[in-house]
Amino acid sequence: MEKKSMIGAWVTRVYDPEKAAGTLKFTDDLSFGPELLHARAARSTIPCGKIVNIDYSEALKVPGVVKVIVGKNFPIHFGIYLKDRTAMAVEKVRYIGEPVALVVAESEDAAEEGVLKVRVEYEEETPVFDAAEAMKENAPLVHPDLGSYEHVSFVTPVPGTNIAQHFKIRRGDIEKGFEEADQVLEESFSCPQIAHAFLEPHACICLQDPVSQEVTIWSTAQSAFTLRELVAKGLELPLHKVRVIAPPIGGGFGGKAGITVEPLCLAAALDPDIKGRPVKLFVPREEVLTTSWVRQGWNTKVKMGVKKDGTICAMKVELVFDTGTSAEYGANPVRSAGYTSMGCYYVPNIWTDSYGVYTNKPFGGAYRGFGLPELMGGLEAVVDAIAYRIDMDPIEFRLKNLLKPGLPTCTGMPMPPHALDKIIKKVAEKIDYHREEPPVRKGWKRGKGIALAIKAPAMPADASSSATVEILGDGSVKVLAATMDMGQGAYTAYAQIVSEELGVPMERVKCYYPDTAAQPYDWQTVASRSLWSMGMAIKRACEDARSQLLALYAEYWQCNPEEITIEDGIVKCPKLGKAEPIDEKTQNGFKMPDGKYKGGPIIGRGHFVPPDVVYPDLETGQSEKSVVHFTVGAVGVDIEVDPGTGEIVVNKAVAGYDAGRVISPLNVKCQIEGGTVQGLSAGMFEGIYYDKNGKLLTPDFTDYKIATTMDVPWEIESFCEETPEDPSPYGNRGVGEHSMISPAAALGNALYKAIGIRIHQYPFTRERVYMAIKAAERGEKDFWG
Amino acid sequence: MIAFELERPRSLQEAISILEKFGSRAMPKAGGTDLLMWMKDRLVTPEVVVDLSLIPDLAGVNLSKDGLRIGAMATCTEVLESAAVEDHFPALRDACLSHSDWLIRNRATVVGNVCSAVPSGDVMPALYCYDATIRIVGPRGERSIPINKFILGPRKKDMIAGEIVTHVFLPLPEGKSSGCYLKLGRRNALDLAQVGVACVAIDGKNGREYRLAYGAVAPTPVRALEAEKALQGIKAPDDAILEKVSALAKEAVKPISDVRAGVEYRLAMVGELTKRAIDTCVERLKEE
Amino acid sequence: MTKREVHFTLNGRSVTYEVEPRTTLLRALRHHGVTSVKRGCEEGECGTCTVLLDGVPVKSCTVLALEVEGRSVLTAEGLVGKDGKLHPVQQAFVEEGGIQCGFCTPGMVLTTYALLKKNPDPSEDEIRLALAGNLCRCTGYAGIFRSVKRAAELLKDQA
Repeated sequence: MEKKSMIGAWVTRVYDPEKAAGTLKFTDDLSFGPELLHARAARSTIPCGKIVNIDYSEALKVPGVVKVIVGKNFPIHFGIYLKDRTAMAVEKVRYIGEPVALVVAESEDAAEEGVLKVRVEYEEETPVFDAAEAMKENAPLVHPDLGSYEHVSFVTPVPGTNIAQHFKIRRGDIEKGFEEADQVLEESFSCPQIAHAFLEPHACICLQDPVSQEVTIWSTAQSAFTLRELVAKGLELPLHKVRVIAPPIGGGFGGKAGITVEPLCLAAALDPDIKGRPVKLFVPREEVLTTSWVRQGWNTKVKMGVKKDGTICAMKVELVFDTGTSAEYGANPVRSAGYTSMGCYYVPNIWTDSYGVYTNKPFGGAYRGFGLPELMGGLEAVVDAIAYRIDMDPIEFRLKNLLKPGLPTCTGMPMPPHALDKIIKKVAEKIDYHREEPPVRKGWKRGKGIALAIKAPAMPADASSSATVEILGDGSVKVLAATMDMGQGAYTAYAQIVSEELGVPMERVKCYYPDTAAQPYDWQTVASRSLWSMGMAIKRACEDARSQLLALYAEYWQCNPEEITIEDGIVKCPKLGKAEPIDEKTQNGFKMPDGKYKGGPIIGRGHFVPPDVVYPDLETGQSEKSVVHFTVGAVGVDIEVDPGTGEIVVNKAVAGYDAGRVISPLNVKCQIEGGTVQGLSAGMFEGIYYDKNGKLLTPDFTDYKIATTMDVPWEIESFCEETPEDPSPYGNRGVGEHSMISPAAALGNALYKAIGIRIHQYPFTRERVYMAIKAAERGEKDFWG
Repeated sequence: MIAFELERPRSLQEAISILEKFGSRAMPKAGGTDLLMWMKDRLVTPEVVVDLSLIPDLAGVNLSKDGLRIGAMATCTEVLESAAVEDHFPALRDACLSHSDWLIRNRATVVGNVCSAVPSGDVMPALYCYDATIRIVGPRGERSIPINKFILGPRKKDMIAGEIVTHVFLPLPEGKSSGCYLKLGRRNALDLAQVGVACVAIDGKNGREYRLAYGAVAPTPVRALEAEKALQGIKAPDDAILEKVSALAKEAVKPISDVRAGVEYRLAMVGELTKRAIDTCVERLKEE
Repeated sequence: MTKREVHFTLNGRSVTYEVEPRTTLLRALRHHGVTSVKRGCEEGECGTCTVLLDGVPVKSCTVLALEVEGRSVLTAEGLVGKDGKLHPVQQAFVEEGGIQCGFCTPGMVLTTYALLKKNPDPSEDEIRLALAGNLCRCTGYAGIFRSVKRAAELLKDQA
């Protein structure tokens, strides 16, 4: 009887029962006893200026307040790509809400009260809130010392300006390309900052041992090891003196990647008067956006030249990312959009400038999609627009210009194999794209739109993963892999892999949440890289463990390892008629036929680093292998619009991605469902807004609205193509982020069909759509309200 | 959260004397869904919070031959599930249903929504349409005040320290009636209204009359009296009339721009939702 | 600030908590180790703090701890059987991919449980309406909708 493979199996997920029962503990749920101190930040009330004086004498009088710490006490710069960020404002404040002092107290209530009593005097300076303004000459400089900040080699800040990052693509002959075009269209689109809106706010507990100086951090962190590394570097401690424990997190989406709120907590925990006591920083919802990053605001301008027959001959892309006061992480989405700026198309002549620009606002960083929603929000609209301009069907246009396998991307890298053409046709079919249907709701307008998606894992060339797999004394398996399973199902997929490779039932495989004292190094849980990169490491670790086990049994039974199988935890040698369950011998050693004990605990290890990524040239963006792989896909929506109010209802949403071999279909389905809705929600509702003084008007859920059960389609239809990836553990590639990339762009395209006007500003709120409809009634074709 | 003492009186008398004793340093609490958030944000800082939930006199939704009595502690859920409300005060039922979500509705009270007097409060426009009166007891005894005199401005009402609203009274419409409440939000649940329109149509002794009230588009809810006049007696308003009425409605309100919606859009929606509300009421009366 | 005692039934057990008047039910529960009840926003928006109060689902961040005197509170832990078996509602969420990060799950489960007690065969619209106050960012709600339907089936089979 053929045993069914675990790879591709539909399984229920590990840790789900604990989540349903409410017994799984998140960071805020941990207990630390009465010694625990609580920290809360006092925050800047001006957007830009010098700190003249901080008077916290009254705060110290609040019963329970133990200490107040200011930026000067902890001026360390932290940062993954560019060290432009300190835990608190040191001499200058740069945005309203920036922490200027940290009140540490015996209770949260006391800390809150203490914060109210901190008085700060400022000398105000001129702020700049708009990225385009910030790029102009003579704009006030958000970081006058930009030239002095450390940064990685592939990030290129421009000192003396507000440009934190400038990524370029210079490929082909752009002028000739446009000359050859029969039609040239240039359009731009923009979007404000948006929030991750994970349901669990950040929380962090830090403790420093006063004698050993060792620091322990419990944090809502996607990436325990990168966090450890950045903390160790910032504090100038050796790695072994920093321990990061990452409990399960309640949603990340990039907002808990790298280093986020931990420096603020460390400022307290490392204080000489506090050292030795654990300090907890819980970031209340209304402070999340001013304590950690948001998704950058963006303006994307695309100039496309096409021939009469629809062939794209040239494209010029300008992306301006509003990164607020820090590009520490935000420098990288700028690059990711840049080196993927061809989208899903073959563009022989392409010129891209992607900028990360400082403004005096809360700062941008990693967010699911990482530069691609920002690109596609403009590019996929322009593609539709130019197709209409030359009277060509938008689907046909896309298929005609598709970046087929082998054709060069904008960096010159040959596009790997994929089935995007199939996906596009299938999505179009599933929403019946070519059939204009009357609206279901009387008096409403109906439209269908499609948008493509593409993304590569955006990571350094040397992002590595490692794992150990230990076979325990009863056939259970302990997997130490530092991926953060934040609901994407990583540990479930890993258990499937281990089950498949070792022949043990999945229920006997346990993956643990990250602790740098236990797991070996993994770069981060971001970039849709884990099942591919860590998957590789785990598979290799399994191969190692399996070969150790088989070698021992081979000697024990006096046969060849190839004659031994493991099924359902039973080790068998059919030739000799042997079969026994894995037992304590795998822990204590085998007594071999010669009477000697051999073996001991079986620990398999594996690691992986992508072998051959080459950073794009800093001047031209060219590289034969700029990324490890691409995942492509498409999303289609069928919507209706109420012309009287501007309300959009999504009749149907369909999305398909080429995920390579699907290891865990339930995981992939759920990722596509969640990301599609996150994209639709962003497209319809979401934006972070400020008043004219730079004060945040949407700090919490009262005014930052995400989709509820009443705002989404009942189901999201999803499917995958499975063009194998290589190298890859099973032919799989990343798919976690991709469903978030293009739903908003698809909405925009559907809206155009429904209401006959192109809206250039996201999100497509009811108000904006209504106003656009009014503009359409006046004969306008484009709406910029 | 600010520190405060909590009193849980078991009788109205007890509650009044506590409130009187502490004057402006005390605040009554019904469901607390607004009050707790205001205290957390330090918008209000009472030293004593008087929880009204144990007072039997304040419970219940009761229909008599004169009208409906909604006790101060009656939750939005209780009110919207009441057969009496569904039968006789459908605009109020719609309004309660549009309020936040099921979980909040299980605690938030109709009277509390009135006493919060937030301009975007959902139940008030319907209560304006139904000519609700607010019943108050306090150190000066009992008094009754029409809702439109009770609400004075954003979060301001005609009440002095020591007083408690015991219930809201809605007289039965004088004839067959229908009603609805249409709410414009940024999404379909759990949002403060950017425009709220309540409409009631009554076939009374003077013929068909309409009531139109608006929330979130003026410092207090407002009735569009000119618009109502223009509809007087018309059982099947045509497009021209609806256009005229919606223009008059727009003149009755004074919306502002804020992060939730702009003034132009709000005005346009006052117009649009007025038409829809009237249509709905006309249809519902036909169905009966 | 003087603390006061509140006596109530928690998941079937009599308990006594000492709390300040300002302590919300959410914070009181969490302080006493009932951590399934989460603080996602503490402003009555997200629903991760949902509990059943005398069988009625409410957001515990909007309830003062002292107010539950003499009443009964049910949290997700309380739905699990003595034998460790998940309640059918919880089981349904596991089966149908209604759980990703798990942070909204206890609240979703309780609201679903309360819905199905009141209305054992809810329509799509009724499900949406009942759960509108419980936000989820991970699943997009599709898996949750499936879970509620499955839970209704499981409960019917049990009945």
